[in-house]
This record gives sequence, structure tokens and C-alpha cells, in this order.
Amino acid sequence: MKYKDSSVIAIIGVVLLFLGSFLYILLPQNKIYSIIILLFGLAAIVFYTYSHWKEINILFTYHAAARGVNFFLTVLIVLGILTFINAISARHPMQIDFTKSKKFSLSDQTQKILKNLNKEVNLTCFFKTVQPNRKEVEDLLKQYALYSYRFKYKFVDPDRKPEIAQKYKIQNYGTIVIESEGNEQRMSVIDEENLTNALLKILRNLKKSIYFVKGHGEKEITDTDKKGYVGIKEAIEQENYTVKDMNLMSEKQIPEDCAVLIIPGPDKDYFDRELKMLDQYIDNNGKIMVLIDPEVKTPELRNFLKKYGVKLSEDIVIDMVSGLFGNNPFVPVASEYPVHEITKNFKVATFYPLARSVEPADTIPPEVSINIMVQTIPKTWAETDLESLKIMPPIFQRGRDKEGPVPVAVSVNINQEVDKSINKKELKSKLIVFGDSDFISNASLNFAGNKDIFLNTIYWLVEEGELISIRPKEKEIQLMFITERLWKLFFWLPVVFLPLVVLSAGTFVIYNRRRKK
Amino acid sequence: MKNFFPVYKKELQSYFYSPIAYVIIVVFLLLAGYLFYSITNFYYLMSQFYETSKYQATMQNLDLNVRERVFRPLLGNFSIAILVLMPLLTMRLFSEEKKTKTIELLFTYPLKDEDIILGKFMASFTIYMAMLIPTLLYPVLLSFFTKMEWGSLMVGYLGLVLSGAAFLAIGIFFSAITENQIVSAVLCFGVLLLFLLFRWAKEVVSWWIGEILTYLSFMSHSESFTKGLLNAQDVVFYLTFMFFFLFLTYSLLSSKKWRG
Repeated sequence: MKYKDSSVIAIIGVVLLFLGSFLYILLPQNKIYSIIILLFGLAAIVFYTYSHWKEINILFTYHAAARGVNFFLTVLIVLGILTFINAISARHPMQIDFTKSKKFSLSDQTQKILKNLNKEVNLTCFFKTVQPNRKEVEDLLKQYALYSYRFKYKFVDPDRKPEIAQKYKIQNYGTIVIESEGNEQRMSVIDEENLTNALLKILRNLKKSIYFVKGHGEKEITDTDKKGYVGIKEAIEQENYTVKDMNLMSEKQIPEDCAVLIIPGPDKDYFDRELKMLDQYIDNNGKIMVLIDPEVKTPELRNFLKKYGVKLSEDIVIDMVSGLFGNNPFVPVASEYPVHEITKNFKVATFYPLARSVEPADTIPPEVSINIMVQTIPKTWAETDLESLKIMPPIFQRGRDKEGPVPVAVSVNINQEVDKSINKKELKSKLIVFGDSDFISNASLNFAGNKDIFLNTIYWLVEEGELISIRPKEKEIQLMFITERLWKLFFWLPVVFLPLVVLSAGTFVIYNRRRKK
Repeated sequence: MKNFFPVYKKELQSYFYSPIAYVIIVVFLLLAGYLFYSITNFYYLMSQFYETSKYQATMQNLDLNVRERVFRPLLGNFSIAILVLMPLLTMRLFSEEKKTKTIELLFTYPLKDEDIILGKFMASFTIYMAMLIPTLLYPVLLSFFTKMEWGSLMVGYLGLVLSGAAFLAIGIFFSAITENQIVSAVLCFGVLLLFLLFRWAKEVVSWWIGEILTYLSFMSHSESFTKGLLNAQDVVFYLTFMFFFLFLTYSLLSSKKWRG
């Protein structure tokens, strides 16, 4: 009787071990509970073992004394302990990569990000079941999942489950949708660098907002017409930013969550009060992008920009060579970019329907450093005789007009003095000025490199310094070099020779044995 | 536990003087050899094509190397063949003795249960090694004609050794359950297949039961070895299985019912 009662303790102990192990794996965020349960389980088993040591000893030395129930019990105990060991090793990944290029190892940066992951991240991968790069992607995701239980992925075949593909509006095979706490990112080029950067983007705590100013005849983010900005709004939102518009006159100051303020092609001038808000915003490390078209009468805004070292001339850039928009001479093209952070690896051409020149001012204030970011192709010029354009086609007048390449976009770093004695300066704010606002309108956005250069500029302004670059693994190519004759070896040795050897050896041994008998 | 050697020796002799071990090894080598030949053939053709192809740039992305293109699929296929053949190797270990009542004689010797089990296990494991080691001819042969990654290859073989050991342990347990060899083989085979199929449990069974079953599947844990990754979790997994079933066999042997 007594024996049976206390065997309940052992059973409870085993159950607790199982429970604890499963909880440890399945609910790792509440590790403390599963550890407590495991400890209780362990304690129960230890207690049972201790108080029945004699009986257990007998079990191990005199088999006849074993009872059926003990068999069951000990097996269960061992199973519990083994499950526990597996649970631990599942939660603490340890791996050695023996491949030459360390193909399956993740970089230290990625590992660190994953280990510190504190939000659930779910990936839905839309791949055909027999897609060539599916295995490679799965290998990569498996490695990610190894370092964080919060990183979960699943593969969905868009052909077999079209309703899910519909829900996510998937357009291409091989797209991955990453979701975390309501945020979403999409990827089509899948490698470690892109994946980790997408993770970083999606994990950003404060959702940064991009604000478009309105109230001076600017382009509107709700406008779906040719000249509207609905397209660029959606493009920015795809990068996980919120896009809003604001009227400077109805606010006291620029909102806290404003990462970049965009002035999208006004045709009326700005008030003094508004410009003061901009100054204040810059002092508070704000970032501004100004898109200003030719022929608009905005002297106050122009002076504001001059204050930061940017000169706007009253001109229009003429391009008689590129012939865009049906040989329209007012759509200059830029194809080669000056050395600049933003256009470092940029190889695509961009075009600017109706643009003006933007260049460093003649005298640049001391706390400012300014760089030309985009300039049009050499065979263009900046036409200053705007009146003549109304009556006749553009003609280049040497001395009067500015010869190409014409700068149409500049970037400004605004510094502030930190230590006067050693002339130490710190970056306070950034400013970008484009001499055109139509290059990202709905009509032009999706052509050439227009959208990309705009987004790159946004990144530069928002200082996406957190984004990292990871050196891709070397691709390993090892080819096989063999003559036709020698190739035959590959059939005869493995398929015929080897089995034959074993067969003969076996026959020999058995035959000999039989003979001996 | 050191006394396992006499049992080991006797069992080994038993294997070598009967056709069963040779048949299994020859069959496996035939299968393995042919698999190696056809997989390498494809790799050979790809190499030739790569040299003359305009699509070199896109082919770069396919990771055309021996590890990915030959041994990863080859060792994967091996594990299936091994899964099928192991029950045949272990089915007679206890069943035969039970049937012919020689087990009674065995129990009268001054041998502990663990020695008996260990001896039989080691004997079958030796046969398994005799089956596996000749296949090392394949990478050696290949090494004359291309660059080999020996490190990842050894890890791949380690995976086979560990999984094979686990299968053997499972087989021994089922052999101990019944005196009918066929029943033992079929049961073992069924269980091994079942665990193999658990790989897809996650898709079919919802919630945590599916997750656990998928974890228990052999396929989930063999992949990393063939990729050249030595993953502690997978090693622990196979050792756990091996140990658990050997322990199960031990408990079974000790229980009064079994001896009665």
C-alpha cells in the first residue's frame, strides 16, 4: 500500500518533467515557469529515488524482484530526462560549419540581431514547390530560425493556395512577406544581407513619418492625376514609413515623429513664420527635402535656401538630345552621377520634366558643406532667357546660358560647432534640394531610376545607418574534369567491382565453413 | 559492462558465417554504387555544360560543387536505404535466441543484461560499418577528378553513422519483443517509416502536437549533416534515440514477464 502511494510521486515527477520540457520549448518567453516545473519534477523523482533506494537497488541487481509497474516507471523517468536534454539542446543552438565557404553560417551581426529579437516575426514565402532556389532559401531561413524561436517561417505554394496569394497580393514567384506586429516588408531578392536589413526595418520601434507640406499649391499625396503624388506616397509606405501631409500655418511646430519634411513643388511663396519653423526644425536635427520647379515666384523660399548655401537660378534646363516625352526639350536626363554617397552604386538614368538648376551658392556659410548630387548630361544647358522660350525654340547662347552638365540636385550637410577651441563640428541636419518636383509624380515615378533615386535620398536623410552590409559568401564552383575513358571507372568500380568483392568474400567464408563441418 | 566482448564475438561470428550479412551488404553496395554513378553522371554533365555554356553567370547561383550536387543528395538517399535494411540486420538478434531457447543458456552465464545487449548492438553496428565504409571508395574515386571538401563529407558520414546506430537500437528492441523474426522486422520497419513520415506532421496536425511530431522525425535531423553542418541538437537527437531504445531493451530484459 505504502509502496503504491509513493509511486504516485514518481509518476507526478515524470509528468512534470515532460510538461516542463514541452513548455520550455513551446513557451520560451515564460522560461521561468517551465524551469520551476522542471525543478519540481526533478525534485519529486529524486525524492522517490531516495526513499525507495533499496527497492530500486534490488531492481537493478536481482531481476526477479522487478515488477511490471517498475518497468513502466523507470522507462518513463528515463524518457523524461532524455526529453529534458533534448529541450535544452533545442534552445541553445551550437553548430560547426564544415563547408569551405561557411555557406550555412550566419554573420555575427545577423546572429546578434536574432538573439536579441524580442518580437514575433513571421515569414510567408510564396514559392512554387519545385522552384530552383527554394531549397537555398529554406536553408537560409532554417539557419535564422536556429537562433531565435521568434523567427518563424512557412512556405506557401501560390499555385496550390491561390487564395492566400491573393490576400497578400503576390505578383511574382519567390516573394517573401515578413510580418511583425502589424508591420510588413516584402522581399524578392533573398540573401542574408537583404533579409537581415528587412528585419531591421520591420523592427523599428518608432514608426517614422514622412511629412509632405501643403498650402502653397504643392503636389498632393492624395492626388491620383498625372501630376499627383499618390504613387510616391505608396512607394514610401512600402518601405515601412507612414506618410502624412501638413499645413505649416496650422501647426505650432513640426511634429515629433517627423523624420523627413518634404516641400513638394510649391508655386506660392512661404510665409516668414513658416520659414522660421523650418529653421527651428533644422536646429532640432530635422531633415528637409525641397523640390522646387522653375518659373515659380518664391523669393522668400529662395532666400531661405541661400541661407544654407543653395543657389537657385531663374532658368530652365534644356535637353535637345535625349528626346524624351516626344522630343520635348524641357525634360533633361541625368545618366552619370558625381561622386556622392547617395548615388554611389547608382547606374540608372533619371529624368526631370521641367527642371531648374540648383547649385552651391557663391559664398557658402561656414557651418555648411554642400555637394552636387545630380547633374544633367553634358549636352544640356540652363536657359536663362525665359521670355524667348515663349515665342521660339530654345537656342543656346554662350555667355548668357549655363553650359551643361547642369546641376539639378544638391545635398547639404548642416553642422554645428561643438567645440570652438579645436574647431570640432557635429552634423546637425541634412537638406536636399531638387530643381524639379515632377520626376516623382504619378506619371513619371515608375520610369527609369526616378523612384529609386528618391528613395535612396530618403534613406540618406533618415540616416538609415542601422542598415548593414554583409559580404556575400563566395560561390563555390568545383567542376569535374575527366576523360571519357576514365569515366567508365565510375560505373565499374562502385557498381560492379565493390559488390562483387564482398560477394566473393562471403561465398568463400561460408563455403569454407560448410566444408569444415 | 566490459564483459560484452564474448557476446560480441559470438554474434559477429554468427553474422559472418551466415549469408544474411553478406546479402545485406552486397545489396546496399549495389544500390549505393548505382546511386553514386547516376548522381555523379549528372554532375559530370553539368560540369561539361558549364564550360561551354553562355549561362555561366546564372549557373553560378546554382552552387555547382561536389558537396551540394553529389554528396548531399547521395547521403540523403543512403539514409533511406539504411532505414530499410537495418531492421533486417537486427531482426534475428533476440528473436532467434528466444525461439531456439538459447536465451536461457545465455542467462545462466555470469553476464549482465547490459553486456548481452551491448554485445549484440556492437556486433550489428560492426556489420553496419562494414556496409558503410566501402562506400568511402566513392569520394576517394571522385577526389582524383575534382576538389573534395573532406570536412563536410566526414560530417555527412557521421550523420549516417549516428542515424544508423539509432535504427539499430530500435531494431534490437523490436527483436526483443517477439520471437518471430518477421514480425520483429515488420514492426521495426513500420515504426521507422512512421517516424520518417512525421516530418510532415506539422502541416497536417495542428498546434503543438504537430510541432513535436515533426521534431521527432528522422528527416528533420539528418539534413544538417548532409549539408556539412555539425549541429549539436541533431547529434543529441540521435544519441537520445539510440540510448532510449537500448535502455528500453534493457528494461524489457529485466522484467519478470520476459523471463517467465
